[in-house]
Amino acid sequence: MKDKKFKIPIRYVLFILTFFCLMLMALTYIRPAFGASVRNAVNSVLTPMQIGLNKVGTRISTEILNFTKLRDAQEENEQMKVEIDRLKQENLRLYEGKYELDELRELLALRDEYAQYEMTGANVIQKETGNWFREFTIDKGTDDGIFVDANVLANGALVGRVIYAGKNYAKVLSLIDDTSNVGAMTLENSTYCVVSGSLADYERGLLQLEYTEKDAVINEGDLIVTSHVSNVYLPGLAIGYATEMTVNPDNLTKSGYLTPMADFSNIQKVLVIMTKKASGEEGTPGEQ
Amino acid sequence: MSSKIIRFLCTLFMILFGYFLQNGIFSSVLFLQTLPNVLLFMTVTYAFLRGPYVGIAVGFFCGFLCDILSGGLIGFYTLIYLYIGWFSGLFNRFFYLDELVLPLILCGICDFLYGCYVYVLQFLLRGHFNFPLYLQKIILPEMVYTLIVAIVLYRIVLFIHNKCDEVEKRSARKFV
Repeated sequence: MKDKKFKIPIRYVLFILTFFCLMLMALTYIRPAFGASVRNAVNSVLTPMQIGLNKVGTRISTEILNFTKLRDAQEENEQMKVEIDRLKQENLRLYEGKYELDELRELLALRDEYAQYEMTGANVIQKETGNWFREFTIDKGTDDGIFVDANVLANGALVGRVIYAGKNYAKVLSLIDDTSNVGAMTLENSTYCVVSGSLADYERGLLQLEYTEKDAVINEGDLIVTSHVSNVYLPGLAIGYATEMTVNPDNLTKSGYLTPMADFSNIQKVLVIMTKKASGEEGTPGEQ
Repeated sequence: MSSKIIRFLCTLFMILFGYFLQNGIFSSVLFLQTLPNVLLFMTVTYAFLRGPYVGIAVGFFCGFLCDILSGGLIGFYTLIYLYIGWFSGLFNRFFYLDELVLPLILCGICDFLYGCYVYVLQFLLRGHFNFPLYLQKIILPEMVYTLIVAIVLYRIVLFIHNKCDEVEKRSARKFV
């Protein structure tokens, strides 16, 4: 059956159809209405399907875009996490720095008070076991000019003196130690007294104040500073405030307690006065 | 249902599928710059698979669809698709199963010729002489996209073509 089928030679088909196309073009050119009507006829069938497929295409593309956005968001999330960790660490460092700054500012403020004395700062690197310091170690030694008997300040007040200076460290005997005695005086009246550490009292947070003349004027809350008569301690260094003054049984002296200005339970930064007390002055009785 | 009708319907369906793929789905995908010419691919493939007569018929129909879509003279695209269908149909005798290279080359050449045809008649005659620009911006991207689509869709078209062949053979056997 197929053999009997008459096949028009292809060039004729081509020629006829080419001619047909040219006619179409001419017709559309001359009568635009024709083109419009043909288009309308076909579009009325195709457009509904077109609209549906349009939605599909838009949906697909937005899904893909969302996917890439999600990937971008996830990457950004990872970066943010790393950044947050870094910022947390930095924040921590900055806080530590801030505390240090505040402490140093305090020290500096007091430094201005004792501006006449040359001072150097040091850190406490080791303390005695137990809450209250009796003897502690600082991180500067003879290499930095620290010498034995140098006065040590903290929190704006006297805390002790150097009893041993190594090459790059030094041991400081704190005021609250039993063996420590400081020749002191009241700031207002220069009433003489001795401040000594006491085993019994340091739990109460107090130092002993003794050897004051019965009639000497010394009041509650008076600021006690180091006196001029001392082998070791430079004058004018604040120690603390007098409290609970009572007359002794011997009726010749009175004694009491001193609330130290320095917080002996928490000393981290100290100032060491580099000025040496000029030797040759007579020490007062009871002073080491 | 005669196998010929099945064949005809399949072809028709594929052409419409190509049309909607090109104008419905691809055109609404937001980040595509150039549309692949799926209808051209359909023409080339069907012509390649079935010979010049079918090629001309499919070309005529595809071109007509393109004309409907465009706003210019009806018959403009019909003409070029017609010739593309005929041209591809001539290569039918080189058709071997499962070959991808020849149809792709054919597709590429035809797309290029199509691009030149459109350029010459629509742009050159209006005074736009900057051929390299059109080549780079329109003709070559379209070729690339069309070839990509061709690689993906050729298998599908081939599969349907073989299925139709099987149906036809089965029905032919019945007559024997």
